[in-house]
This record gives sequence, structure tokens and C-alpha cells, in this order.
Amino acid sequence: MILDTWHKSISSRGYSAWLLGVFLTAFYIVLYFKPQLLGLGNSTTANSGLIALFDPLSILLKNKPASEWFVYGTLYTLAIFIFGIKFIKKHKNNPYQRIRTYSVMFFQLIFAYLLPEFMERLNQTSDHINLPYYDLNVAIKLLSI
Amino acid sequence: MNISTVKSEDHVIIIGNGISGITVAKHLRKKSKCSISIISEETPYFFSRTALMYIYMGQMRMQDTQPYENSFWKENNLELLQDTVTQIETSKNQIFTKQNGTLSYDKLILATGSIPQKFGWKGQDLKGVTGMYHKQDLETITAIAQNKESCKRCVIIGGGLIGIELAEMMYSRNIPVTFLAREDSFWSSVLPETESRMISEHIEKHGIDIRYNSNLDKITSDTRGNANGIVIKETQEHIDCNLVGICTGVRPNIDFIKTSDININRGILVNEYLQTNIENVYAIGDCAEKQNPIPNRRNIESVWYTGRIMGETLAKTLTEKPTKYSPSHWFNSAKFFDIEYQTYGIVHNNPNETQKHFSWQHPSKEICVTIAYCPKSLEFQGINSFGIRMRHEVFEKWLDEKQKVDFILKKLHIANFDPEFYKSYENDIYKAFLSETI
Repeated sequence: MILDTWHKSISSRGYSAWLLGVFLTAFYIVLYFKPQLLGLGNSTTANSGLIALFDPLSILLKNKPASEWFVYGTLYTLAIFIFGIKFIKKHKNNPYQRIRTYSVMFFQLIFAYLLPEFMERLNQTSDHINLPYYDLNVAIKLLSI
Repeated sequence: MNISTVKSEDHVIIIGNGISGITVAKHLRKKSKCSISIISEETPYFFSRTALMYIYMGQMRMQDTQPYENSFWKENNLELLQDTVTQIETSKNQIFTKQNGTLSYDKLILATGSIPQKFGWKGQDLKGVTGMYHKQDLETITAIAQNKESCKRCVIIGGGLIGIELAEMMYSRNIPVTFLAREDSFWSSVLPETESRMISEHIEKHGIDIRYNSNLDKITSDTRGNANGIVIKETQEHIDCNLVGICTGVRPNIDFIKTSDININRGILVNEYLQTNIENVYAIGDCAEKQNPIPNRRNIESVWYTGRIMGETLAKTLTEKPTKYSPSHWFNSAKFFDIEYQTYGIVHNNPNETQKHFSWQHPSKEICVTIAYCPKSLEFQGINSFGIRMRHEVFEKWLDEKQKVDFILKKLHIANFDPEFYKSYENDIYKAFLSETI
């Protein structure tokens, strides 16, 4: 893979890089303050829009519809994988870079993403009250940033 | 001849802002309050020449190749002039420039570097014929070889380190390359056969059309004076191209000095103190030619680090006491596409009665090592390493200690400088050595 950072607008602080930066920041602000705009439901209405797209995965993992932080965590893990693969391709001849990237991908997927979801699932019993603010997933997700 | 140190009221003029000129300026400034002017035709600021290729490849910008902030020079009272020196009048201690008129000096330091060497081929000065040395060369290359649509092919003349850089640059933009090499395999005038063959195969693997035993006959042009092809001398084959890279080595950049009283041969002749025949004129770096050769060193050295050592040595002479230029053991490093190359000490391309080679090559990977030693005393003389990084200071020490070849092979792992998790081959190499010598 050829490294031509300064020839591409996206990797040399060009027009498209700024556009992407503004979009990602705006997305996070909306996600944080107004998740309803992304389709987050409440106790009476089901998820819709973007957040509803993540419901099947969320139900599979923890038997609950997706929250805005589940969406965030999934996208975050996906980004680690996409850029991790890109990085491994770039450093295909360097075992040090390969191993350290595999390590980052592994710990993001298992420890920062899947384990908290499974733990939440294991904690769900019929007579147990799930405190809505006790969201371990969010706590770890924030640490991993 | 008398050598005097620099006084604080002196004006030192340095011609050339490459690594040699900048090193001497920096070290003079540390010890002296003299006024210092640095004149360069090429660029306003010092930059790292070896990084030029990465600008074309998009990995760096020009400002990334400049090791100092632009404010550094003013803060340290170093005057920079972008100008062309036309003549030197040593009897009056003056130089003549195009834009700043006549300038007077108390000490003059020539650090003018090299220019690409051309051999009087027909068409060598056409548009689209360039070396790969100056910033202006990079500008020419960038303008002509924008992409594979505007540049159908690049022909590179001369199979050496600069030629391979240019080939890699073209490869990064998918521009087809034909490489004319005088030798029968890549850089075989320097590298032992196994290494030269491995590098040749590596180059060919990148789709480079490399022609061995081929010399340039002439360069052809269209009606507007742009190069549009070359003819190979041996076969008279015509190859269409838009860019011709002349990479047949460099020579000292001294044409404007020829009219002065300063003695020159191929370069500016200097004694062991880097002083020319004129008492207050010195020459360092690529442009200097040593009158009394140093063993195992060329009279003219055109590598980056020797320019730096010469700059440091001269600054010491001018601020403390006369100091002879005495570089340590030879070393060098380069990259052939993905293969890193390092050499320490002296390794000839062919073993002879004073040098024997032990060579190890990985059965499938592009890794090989050649260790040179004296067949009689078994003293270690040098190493070439491809694909394994080695530690400079370890070989420096071993060469100083005049260690024997079996010691080197036994302890080779100490010299390994590969990053973590790299597979190491020192055991394989040592075993191969034992089975070969017992």
C-alpha cells in the first residue's frame, strides 16, 4: 500500500477532511443531547430510524433494544476494525505493527465491547431491577476513548 | 600553511546551505560571535536532500523536510541569502553575486555540493531530461510526471542509488519505468553477486523494465524541444518516454570556481585541514577533493554524513585548534524499494587475495548478509546487510577492536537492531558459517 498522505484531501486537512470532521462532531453532539432525533424510543415507543437498525444486534447480545450508546459502541468497534485492517495492510512487512494492531482490535472487540454487553445480559433476572443509569457499557466505552 | 581561528569581528561567508555548510555554520555560531552569511542558489532554507523523493510520493511536504523552524536562522544571527555567486576574487577577499553585488569576507567556506554528471549525450539538455538531486529537479519531475496519462514512460539512465529512488517515485504513481544499467546486474560494481542478483529480482518484481549491459546513445525530441525518447547504444532500440532521469552519479559543483585562483581538479583541492591553496578559503562536503587520500576512503566523498563530519571538523579548526578531517570506518545505508541495505567497513564486490566473503541468503525471503574478512589473519573487514537492521555503534567497535570473523558471527545477535517480534536469523547464519568453514 502506498502512503500518499499529502496527495489526498481527506488525509491532508483538505476540504473533505474538514467536512468529515464537522459531520462526526455534529453526530456526536446530537447523539449525546438529542438521541431522539436519531430514533431513540422510550418506554412507550419503539426505536426507529438509525438506532432501530441496531436493534437486532442488541437483542442478540443482551436481549434489549439498542440504546444510543450501543450504536456508538458498535460504530466505534467497527472503526477500529476497518482502520486496523488498513493499518495491517500498510505495515504488512512489520510484525511489530501487525501484532500491536491485532491486540488493539482484540481488546476493543472483546473487553471493551462484547464483555460489558454479556455481563449486562447475565445480570438480567426476572426479579432484578435494571437501573437505567447503571450502564457499564457506557462507562467502559468512555474509558476506551 | 598558516591556519588562523576566526575572530569575533570577522565575516565568514559560506557558499552552500546543504548539510556541510549548515553544520559548519551551526558549530561556528556555538563558539564565536563572528558574522556568518550563508548563500544558496537552490532554496532559501536548509532542507534534507534525501527526503526529496518523499515529497513527490506524497509522504511529506517541503516544510517537513526542513529540520529547523524558519525563525531559527534569525534567532541565531545567521544571515541567509538566496543568490548566485558568479565569481570569487581571492586576492581581494571578495565574491560577486547576481543580486547582492560584491561581498567581502575574512574567511570563505565553499560547500557547494554536487551536480548530476552528464557524459555529453546528444539531447542531454532537452526539456524533460533531469537529474534527481536539486529541489529544481524535483519540480521538473513533478511537472512532467504528474500521472501515467501525462507521462507514458520514464527512462532512468544509471543503476545506482539515485536511479532506484527515481524508479520508486515513478512506481508510486504507476508510471512505467525502463532502467538502463551499465552492469550485468543491479549495482554489481559495488555489490557482491548474490546481493546484486537479489536486488535485481526485487526491482523486476515491481514491474520495472531493467536493461542490463545497456548504455545511452542519445535522447530524441519532438519539435518543441521536449524529450520524447531514447536510443540504446548497444541495440539501437528506440524507447518512447516523456521523462529521462540522468542518475549516472554526481560531480562537484565547481564550474563558477574555475575562473578563480583556487586550485581544483575534479573537486576543490584541500589539505587534511580542508583548507584550499588560499589560506582563508576552505572547502567541505561533496565539492572537496582530498589531496592526501585517507585509507579506504575516496578523495571525493558525496554522502550526507561525511559532509556533516567535515563541517564539524572545520568549525573546530576555526574556533579551537587545527583539526584534521579523520572520519571513522566507512558506513552507508539505503533502501531498494522494500529492502533496507546497510554496510559497515569495506566489502568489495568481488572477493580477492586480501578479502574473503562469507555469504548467507534466506532460502525464500529477500534477506541476505555478506561478511568480509582477511583470508590470512581472519580479521573482520566489513559487512553488507539486506533486510536485517544492524547497530552502527557495534560494528564501529568491532572494527576498532579488529575482531576476527568467527567472533563477529558468534556475536551477530548483539548487532541486531530489528524491531520487536521480528524473526532473527543469527543462529542460521552462524550454523551456515560453521558448516562452510569446518
